[in-house]
Amino acid sequence: MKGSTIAAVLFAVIAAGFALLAPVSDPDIFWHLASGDWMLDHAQLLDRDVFSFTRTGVSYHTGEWLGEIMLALAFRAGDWLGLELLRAACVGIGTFFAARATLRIQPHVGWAALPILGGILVARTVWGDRPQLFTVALFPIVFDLLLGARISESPRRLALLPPIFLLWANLHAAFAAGLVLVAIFVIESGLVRVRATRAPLLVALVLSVLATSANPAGPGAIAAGFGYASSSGAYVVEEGPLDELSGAGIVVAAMLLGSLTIALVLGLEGITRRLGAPLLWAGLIVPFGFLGFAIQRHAILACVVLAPFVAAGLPAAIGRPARTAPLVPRSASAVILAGCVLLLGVAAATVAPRSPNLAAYPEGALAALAARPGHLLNEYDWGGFLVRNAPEHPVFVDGRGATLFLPDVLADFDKAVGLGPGYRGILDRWRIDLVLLRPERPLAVALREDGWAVLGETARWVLLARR
Amino acid sequence: MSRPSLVIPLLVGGFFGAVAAQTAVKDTDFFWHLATGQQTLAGGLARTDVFSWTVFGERILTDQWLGDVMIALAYAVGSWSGVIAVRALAVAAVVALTLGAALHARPGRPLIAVLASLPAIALSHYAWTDRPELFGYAMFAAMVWLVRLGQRGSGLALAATIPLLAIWSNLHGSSALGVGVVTAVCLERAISVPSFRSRAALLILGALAATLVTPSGIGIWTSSSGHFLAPPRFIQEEGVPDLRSEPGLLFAVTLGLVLTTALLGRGGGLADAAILVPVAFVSLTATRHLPFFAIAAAPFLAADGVDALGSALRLAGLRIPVLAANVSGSAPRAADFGALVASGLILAAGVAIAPRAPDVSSFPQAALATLPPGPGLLNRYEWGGFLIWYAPATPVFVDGRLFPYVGDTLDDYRSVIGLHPDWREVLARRGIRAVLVGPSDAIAVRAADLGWPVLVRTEKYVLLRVP
Repeated sequence: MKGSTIAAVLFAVIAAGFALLAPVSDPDIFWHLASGDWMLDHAQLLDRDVFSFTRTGVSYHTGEWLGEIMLALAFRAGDWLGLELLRAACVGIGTFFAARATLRIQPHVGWAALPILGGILVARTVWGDRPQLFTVALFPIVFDLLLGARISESPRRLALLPPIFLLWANLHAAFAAGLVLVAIFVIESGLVRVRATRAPLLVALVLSVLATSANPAGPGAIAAGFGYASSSGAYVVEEGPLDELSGAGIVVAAMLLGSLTIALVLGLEGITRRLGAPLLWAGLIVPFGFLGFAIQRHAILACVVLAPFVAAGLPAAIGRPARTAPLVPRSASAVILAGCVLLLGVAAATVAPRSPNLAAYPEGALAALAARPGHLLNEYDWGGFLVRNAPEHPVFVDGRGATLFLPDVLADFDKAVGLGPGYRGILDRWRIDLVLLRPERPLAVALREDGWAVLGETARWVLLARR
Repeated sequence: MSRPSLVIPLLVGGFFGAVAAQTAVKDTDFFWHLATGQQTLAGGLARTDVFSWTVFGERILTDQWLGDVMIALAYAVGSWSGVIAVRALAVAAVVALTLGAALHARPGRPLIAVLASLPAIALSHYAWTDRPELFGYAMFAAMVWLVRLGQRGSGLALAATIPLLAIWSNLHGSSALGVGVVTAVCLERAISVPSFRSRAALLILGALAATLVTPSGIGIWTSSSGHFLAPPRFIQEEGVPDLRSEPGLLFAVTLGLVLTTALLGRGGGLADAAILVPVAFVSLTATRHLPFFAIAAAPFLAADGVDALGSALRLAGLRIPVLAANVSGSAPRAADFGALVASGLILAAGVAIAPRAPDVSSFPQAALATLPPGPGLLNRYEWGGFLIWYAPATPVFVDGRLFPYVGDTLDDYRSVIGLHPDWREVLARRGIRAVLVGPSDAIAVRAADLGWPVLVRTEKYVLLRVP
């Protein structure tokens, strides 16, 4: 077995091991689980709202129905540990293919390690238990397939793309980023007339686009996918721009500006000689570098694409010779692989958390809520938690923000909790009897002063009831 | 080395200076800069605050004293037209210096130089306001030209960066970027030309020392490091650059062009990397820093952009003629002098038809007569400078000088404006007697609930008396 493949497995095990250590805590997991459970219980797609009182019965598509069912099945199979194992599997698969793509271009593990580990650090920001985990796994698979086909000019593996996109389009809406990736390879192959891959890539793209139409939203899923990619970060932090001075931002900036330095030093000839396909790298680095900084949740996609260029370009820029991957004997490979499986098994059995981390949620308010009927105005980030844990109180808003609650409900939410003009009208119009917010919210301060009853409070939340 | 023609840079600079003059004075920070400059002209440099009642008598930064004095001198000489004339001159300088550096990089090809400078002109136009920041861009454009000349072997140009930095450090805190660029360029030259090492060390030390020749001394670095390494994100222009916004897209296009040019370029560009990479890093830290990269990129794009385009077309199998630099494009000094005169006339014409009065429509002008004299007013942050200039008898709670207020004062400001749980305690402790805020601010809405007396109310502001 190639040493680079063994190295990719080791990187995958490191990433999967880290992914196993974190307890479930993502604010969106709860409504995804509730949605998956609903579909499994009712044996039908969930295409209208059943969790809020502000949008009851309104039809919507998250574009993630299969992802939600997978999450619910994992939970049913293994409780919270089941979700952690699913997360670790997606992270491990994604890291393996991202590392393999990098090691295709830079077989020297030492040079490849830096951008791969950087990518793992950035990926940690999207290891929340959501359907986006499937994108974490599938995007590197598609990238590795494309890179393998282009570099070795062997197009047979491209036949895997349409079924992957069929699956991806039903798992998570970010499949659009994968289509962009394929399109870049198609354009480059067409421009430089790569005979072996030009036609197969085009066919693969067409079939992949057709495959993404096979989902409940039909061809509209593509438009939704691109809309999702271009949605603003006004309500969802991870869809906002990446802060360069954050941990992930520094890594992405180092990789993007490292790429710029490498390109300036090597130029067209140097890149052609060491990495090949210079137009392809230009086509990949520019749009995905932009995407990584424009939408912070996509920073990992930028890292996957930039890593091979940085790994191979850096030593070339400082005059180090190119290396080939060593071969590892089959017996040694088998021992290493078995050791990795054993290691992950031990980690799952011993150190993986068995319960979610609910420190960020108003867990203590649930009992008081259960005893008090009425319409509830809840904090945006807690909507999913309440959907799952307080189903007797349909929520005002939850993490389905841009899909379901724009523009009216979110505007009302903002105005009410920020104590904007007309906030009382909003409370009356929605007949709000209960308010569960962070104590520093202006609405919470005002309602307390106005004599609403405090049913419970901590430093993180306060539950108020109209008298 | 042939001397490039300055005709096009001067004429284009004059044109854009005249365009910049067509906007009335309206910047939120302008007024406190004007008041500070006027105070310095009248009574010498003030090192303690005299404009607020919250930090009165405490030390303030003096890092922009010369910029403030220039604005105040312009006002003293020509009233609002004088201020606009200085703005027009500064914009003309930014454009002419950027274009001049680009033309020097590609002699005799003015159209290419203009195209390469367009991103810088487009991105800097967001900062064509009446602040010392604009002088900082002009200084940076001059710095880029000098270090480019230095990279071509002009020791005089590199030495000239030191007096430039000394002036820049008294104009605006962005001089820290200039020190960074000089350091990076000197280090690169020291690596490439071993005999340059001792001169590089002297230049770096000289550049650092030049920034200390200011009334702030080493304190100049407090402001610079604050803005560059920990930008106050709640201020719009200090926010994370959003690449999906208009300035963000312009920056992304510029970075994309630079990356593509580098990837398809001639290579061996460590000298380019020494300028472009650190500036790109700084530009990505905050929205207000975006123009720096476009200014720095103009000479690179002019020199290599067309060749990179040719390489791309050749890779695609197309044949295009090589567009060499036209070294005969230099003009006689008389032509340059004529262009200088013409540029001056264009600027004068632009200033002559410029607005004669400031645009204060976004400020609480109608509240001025009703403001209570003496301490006790809590005002919105962005109106502080306006009040300093137009209502000197009413010291402000906070204003755009920011750093004197960081800590308790800003925390208290946020508590009252945003109706945090301790807002009443802050009101009492600070002795706040009136608030001048937006009608949709939480405190204004709450004050209406509580029946506070309204002294002035419009659609944009409300002045309330605290009972």
